[in-house]
Amino acid sequence: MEENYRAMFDQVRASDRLREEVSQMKMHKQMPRRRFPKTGLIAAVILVLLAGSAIASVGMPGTLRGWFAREWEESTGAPMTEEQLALVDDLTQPVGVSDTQNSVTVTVDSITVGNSTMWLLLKISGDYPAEETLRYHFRGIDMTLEPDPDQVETPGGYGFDFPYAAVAEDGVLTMLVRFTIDLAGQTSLLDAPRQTVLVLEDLVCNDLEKRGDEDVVLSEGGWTLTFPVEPGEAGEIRSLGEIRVPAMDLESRKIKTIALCDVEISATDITYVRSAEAQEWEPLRCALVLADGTAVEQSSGSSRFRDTACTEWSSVYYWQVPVDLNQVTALRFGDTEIPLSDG
Amino acid sequence: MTEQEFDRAAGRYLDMVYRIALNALRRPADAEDAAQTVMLRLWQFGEGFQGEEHLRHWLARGTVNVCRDMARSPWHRRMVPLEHCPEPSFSAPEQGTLFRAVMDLPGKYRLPLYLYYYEGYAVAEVGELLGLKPSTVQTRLARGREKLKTMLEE
Repeated sequence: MEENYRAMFDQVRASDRLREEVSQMKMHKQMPRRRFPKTGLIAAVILVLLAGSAIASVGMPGTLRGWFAREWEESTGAPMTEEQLALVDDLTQPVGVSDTQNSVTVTVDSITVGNSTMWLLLKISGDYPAEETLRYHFRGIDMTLEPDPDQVETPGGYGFDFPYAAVAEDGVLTMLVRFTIDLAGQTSLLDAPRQTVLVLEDLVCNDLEKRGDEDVVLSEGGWTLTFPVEPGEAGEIRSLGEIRVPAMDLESRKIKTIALCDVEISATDITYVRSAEAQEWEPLRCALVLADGTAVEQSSGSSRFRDTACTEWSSVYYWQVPVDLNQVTALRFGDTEIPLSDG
Repeated sequence: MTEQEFDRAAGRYLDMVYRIALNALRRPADAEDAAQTVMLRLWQFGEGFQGEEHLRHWLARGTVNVCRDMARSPWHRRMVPLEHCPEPSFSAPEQGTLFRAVMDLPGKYRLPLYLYYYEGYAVAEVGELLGLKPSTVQTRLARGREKLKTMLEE
């Protein structure tokens, strides 16, 4: 059996697609987009989010504004404009809520809220080493919003990732948590006042360089942080109705043009719907093209049926950073650009 | 790490990283995501390896940790039935049967079996990689083998 076992696993290989993505990784500072698992599922949600893996990054700015400015420059190669910074300021709310457990105080410093995504800047009291290889995170994280923004009666999803977690420029252990939720374009986090409860469990750290880098518990405990999210203007929404875009069958790698309807672009995400029959066809990577030629790409995304009859497959993809739509001239899927009027 | 060194490491070890991730997570899409994360860490942080075995061990260890993180990461209401995930194609039908049986094993048996029987790690090394005592690894290898045998006979 051992020989059969080895012969069997000899044939289990990384796919050509994975090899290609790993090969292209050298050109990216961040994780390439994640894929939707190939499925024929009915009425099942696929939540596609970055893994909860904080990449340590020493010396990052200690404010959301500073982080977005740096992220923008790193992803587009150009400095963030005043208009973009003004948009970040519009979407950002100070919070200043803390909870202390075992002498460690966790503070929600501020939040940046879009239609279906929220960035939370957390500050953690105490002295921590600032080595780049140290990876700080919480062993558990969850968040509830009341009233629940998800009003769609099909399985949906939400999740978290940690764009960075490190000792910031101000010497404080700082974590940026990104919360994303799939609302199928039906509601917005900004359309009503909500009470938010963020629950964090056990502050831990591991060292990426050390052999046997087990998580080291820095502080055990459960922190509960309750704070309001104020309603606000999500900024301009661009509605495109129906567009035709290139899409790939992830199994066969074939590409064809499919129709997307109810396309809506906001400062933080894009939502669109395709028929259940076209569910297998994943639109090529999406980006916003700005007047100065820079492009802001999608990051993670999620899909679900929008209707209980399971005929309308809705997808949402989140932009890497909030984008002032007044600066946007086109929407791009793969190499196909769709000009946006009044950009 | 230079591009050349990274390409060489990816060429040599991506299959191993993917297989470890597949044994840990079962779903090919999740395994690919884990493999991407591990290789990204190699590109970002991979320096100063003292020989080939150090690099291989670093990757194996990193894959186990990434998969552990993914398994406990707070994705909510994620519902992709396993039977809808495509499985690798095999040259012989019995290999497909064996693959499905391996994937049906409880998770705690899959990785020790893979690391021991395929990657050739010693029991103590498997224990070190998985954070288990050697005696626990021995027990899991024995029970995993037994369960696999029973499943294949049924």
